[in-house]
Amino acid sequence: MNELNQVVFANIDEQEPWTIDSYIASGGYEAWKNILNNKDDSHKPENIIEIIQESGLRGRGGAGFPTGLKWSFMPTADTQKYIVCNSDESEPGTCHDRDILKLNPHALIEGIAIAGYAIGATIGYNYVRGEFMDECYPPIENALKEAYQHGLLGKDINNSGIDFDLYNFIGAGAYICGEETGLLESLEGKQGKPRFKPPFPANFGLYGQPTTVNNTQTLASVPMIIKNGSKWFKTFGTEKSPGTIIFSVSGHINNPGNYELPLGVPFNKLIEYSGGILNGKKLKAVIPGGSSTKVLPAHIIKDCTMDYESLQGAGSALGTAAVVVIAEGTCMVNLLKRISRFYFAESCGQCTPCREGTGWLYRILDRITNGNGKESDLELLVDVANRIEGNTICAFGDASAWPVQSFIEHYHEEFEYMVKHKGKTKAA
Amino acid sequence: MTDNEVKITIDGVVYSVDKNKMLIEITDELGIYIPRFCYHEKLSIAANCRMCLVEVENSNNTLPACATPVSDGMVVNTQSTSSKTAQESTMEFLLINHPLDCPICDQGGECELQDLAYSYGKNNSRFDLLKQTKPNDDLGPLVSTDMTRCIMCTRCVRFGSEVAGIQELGTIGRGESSTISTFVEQTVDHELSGNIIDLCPVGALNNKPYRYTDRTWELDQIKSISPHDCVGTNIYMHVKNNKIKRIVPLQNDSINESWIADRDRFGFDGIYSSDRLDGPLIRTNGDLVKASHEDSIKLINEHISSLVNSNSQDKIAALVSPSISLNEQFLLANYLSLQGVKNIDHRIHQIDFTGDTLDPLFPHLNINLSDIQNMKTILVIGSDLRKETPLIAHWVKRAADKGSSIHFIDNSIREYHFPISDYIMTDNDSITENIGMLVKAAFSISDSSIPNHIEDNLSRLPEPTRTHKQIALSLCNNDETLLINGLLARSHPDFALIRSYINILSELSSSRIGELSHGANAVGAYITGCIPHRSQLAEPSEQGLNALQIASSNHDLLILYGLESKDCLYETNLVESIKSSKTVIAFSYFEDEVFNKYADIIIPINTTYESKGSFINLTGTLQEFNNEMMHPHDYLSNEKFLSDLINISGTSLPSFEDFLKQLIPFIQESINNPNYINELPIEITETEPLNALNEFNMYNLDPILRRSKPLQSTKESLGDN
Repeated sequence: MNELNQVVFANIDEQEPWTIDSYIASGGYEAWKNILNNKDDSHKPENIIEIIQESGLRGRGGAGFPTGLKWSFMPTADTQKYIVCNSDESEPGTCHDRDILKLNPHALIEGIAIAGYAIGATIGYNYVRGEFMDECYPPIENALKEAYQHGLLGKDINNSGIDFDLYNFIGAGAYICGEETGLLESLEGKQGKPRFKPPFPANFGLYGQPTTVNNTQTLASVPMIIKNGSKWFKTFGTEKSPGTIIFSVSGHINNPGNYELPLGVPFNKLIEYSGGILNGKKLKAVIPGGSSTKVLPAHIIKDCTMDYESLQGAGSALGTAAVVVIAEGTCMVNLLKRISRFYFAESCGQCTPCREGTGWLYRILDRITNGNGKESDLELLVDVANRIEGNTICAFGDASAWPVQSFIEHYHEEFEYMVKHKGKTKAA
Repeated sequence: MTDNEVKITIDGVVYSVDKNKMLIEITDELGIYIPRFCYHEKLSIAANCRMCLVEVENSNNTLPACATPVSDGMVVNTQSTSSKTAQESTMEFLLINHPLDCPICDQGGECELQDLAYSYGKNNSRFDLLKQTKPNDDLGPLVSTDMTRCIMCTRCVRFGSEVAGIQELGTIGRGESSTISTFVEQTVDHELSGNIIDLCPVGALNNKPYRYTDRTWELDQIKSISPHDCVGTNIYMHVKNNKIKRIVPLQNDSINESWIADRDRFGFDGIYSSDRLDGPLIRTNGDLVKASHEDSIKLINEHISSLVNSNSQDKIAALVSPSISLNEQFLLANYLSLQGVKNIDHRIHQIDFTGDTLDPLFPHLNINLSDIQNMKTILVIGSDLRKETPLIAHWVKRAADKGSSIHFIDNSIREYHFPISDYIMTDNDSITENIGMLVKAAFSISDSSIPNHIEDNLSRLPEPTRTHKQIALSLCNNDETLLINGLLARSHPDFALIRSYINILSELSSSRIGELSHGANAVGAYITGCIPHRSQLAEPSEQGLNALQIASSNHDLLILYGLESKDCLYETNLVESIKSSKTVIAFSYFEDEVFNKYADIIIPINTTYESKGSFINLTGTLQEFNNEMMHPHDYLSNEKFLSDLINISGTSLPSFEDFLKQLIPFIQESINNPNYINELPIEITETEPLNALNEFNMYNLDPILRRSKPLQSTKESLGDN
């Protein structure tokens, strides 16, 4: 059985899957239309939330928070609520939302509409990453127009009494706007600086109103789950990590790209799907869930299955399922420096540990690679990272600390070697 | 424990605390110190400095006490290793890019970063890389910038957006390059902008005129009251060698919170102006010649007694500044009234005196200033409120922020940084008419018939428009409403009629009235009898000449106390009067061109920054100050001079203490039962068409402000708006 592309990308091999005709021909918008027609009583908002809760769908944006549970946090009070789709996909290594926006935009629109209906939001915003301006914004904007033309969105849609308006919004290119409250600030026209929580968006979100923010892939998974039921969704994946997830495989791999596979797929199988390690080299390490997650050496990752529990058990996380494959011969010091450079550049600068700490981390790594490292630097790096971790307003601080902690934990001798040998790498 | 309370454990002790508060508010109340930089009780929570991180059991991470609501069963350990490590980590991060230039930093000695570094910092640094520097913006003449010292707590930014209402400073850039800056090279011009100096926990924003003058630990702190408006702003004067070095706020939550206006902070500079008088001057053979105090007192007494002896007291007139202390007013008013002089007034900004008989006992507001924020509707009539009384504008903004409807009737559109419900902009002449139309609208809403004595007058006015009706409705339908009668209205040629309308409107809508007054102590001037139509404590008296009449006629003896002709709304009249009066005695702080030419006796006096006394602010609060140590050595205190004058005149010195005993109940009674007379002025005379005040320069209100160099360098003064 071909395990690939069962849920989000189920219709991806159709001709022009991004057109509304193609999407409808392959069963798209059925779930939404059922809700609009209210064929039976099984489509009340609370039922929708229940189905999603039963399905075990977890947020695909990185944190893996149960989606149905998040929806259930929305207050029932009759006030303006918002559903916001986080298409600000910026985690290094991650590129599945890009393909959804490009290839299957209607699944996303349908998912946002259903989610909006379930949580009582009549307005939705799709916050699209600024860098997607040319590549992804036109297709999603076009799809949105099509959906309106087909009478699937708007006020009192098809005389159903349901209102739902959706807007695409293009960001200005900041990693931090992928943090849900930073995103909300940016959407309100302010600097993308994360808010401190509590209050969470469900209580104080966009313009201070109850808001749910979900990731693109999460929302694009919703229509199929509503259409086929939670049991069907649970036939994929493992008991604790049901469903499929799109792995964005990159790095030293023969066929880098997006692979939608059931959760729990063995790591080796994922590598097989991706055509094996580049140039037949030996695997050295893997960053399994985007650059923020902790690196796992080959001997640990090779026995892992690709799901939330297994990777957590191995000391890392599934994150965004952006699998960065690192082959033998890669200098881990230089790689970490590159990652730290990213966090240094992307810190919003709002809170002290992250603003001051990320630059410190990067500069120490920079001097190590330039041959000016000191013996005490390795201890200092870990200590600075530890002092950032857990002390910041948002998870960015942790994301900048974890790579440093894990790289030095697993590859201490490479760092030591470079300090001793004035910038010479041990890996080559 | 009430429903509003929860039980929390802090450092092993269980407390019942208000469940609606943040942890840091609770620990502050309990006297348990948690370090902080970005938190400020008067500003919103930012939680960005991370200095107040504390260990809360069952939480994965340490939590910022400023942004963590207390909850039942919460266990907080403020002294645990985890709390200490988090706080020390933050301190280390804050210091790595801080220049540590404390020896040349004005903030040194009163720096929150420096203070906390002693407890939470290390003795040596692990940071051996290059520190950052940041560019400095020119924020104007009042606030200096050393942005490399900035720790990005954003207190100044939040002050702008929340208190001032205009975000003159913001954060730009991100990450390490984040910096506080203005919007494209603007200066900081808000009338409360100096408060960011106090808010800044480090030396990034400092007092520019004070820069590099003294170290803070060498300064003494003296409580005082700002003399530049009727608010009675509480201040601390920081003093060295009997000289004021700078002024900072003294928190008083019912008057000025933690804020002072820029003129309260920088105005004092004027008293050190080089044209300060250094001794009495007597005109001899056409020239002003230095004289002793004794000789001057004798000479003044001679002038006065000769007129008194010839029963020509009506040839004596006195104009008094509305900003002198109660004690001076008391002595001066008593002295003149004992001599039988009736012509005394302080209302040098008023043109229309036809409503004198309808005057309240003194102009006032009968609630605390902080209560303004609880008014549901506020109508501001004829006022450049932000410039007239910056702190009252602040309280009105607070009301607006809480959702109250704020309305204006004014002769110009002025910029307010809060939502305004209605703004009737009209020419100066039509202000009166528009208030009359409001009265009409209020009559029809309240369904009461218009009394005969005003029917005629109202019937001549146009019918109210929708806006008038809206404002009247908002006033009549809400419980807590306030009519603010501004300084422009007070200077209006139809002031008496405007005030009668306001009184009637207040009765119809059960609104309170807040009558702003010029200077720091107009209330005192009314009560001590520095007015021609009443004597002390509002006792009836024989009518004397009012300020306009005094300034528009010549006298055998004209006394000017604490004012210059520039302070007077009818400056040209007054100059003419000074020229043509036989003898002119000027009690003045400074040399003045007009006095130099025409005054016969010039007596140097102390400002209230340098003397002992009290002011009564517009809410009737008597506030004392004792700044005597500041007065220049060769000056006699003003009180002593006036007392000597009374003694030499042969009359007995009235007791100020006895007066004070009567004063407090008198104020209480008047405040509790304000008597707003709903009559119209008896005769509505056509006053001379004098130039009514349209422009209000907030740094040209008195001789001191006019000489304050920092204030005179602002955009407000240079007219470069």
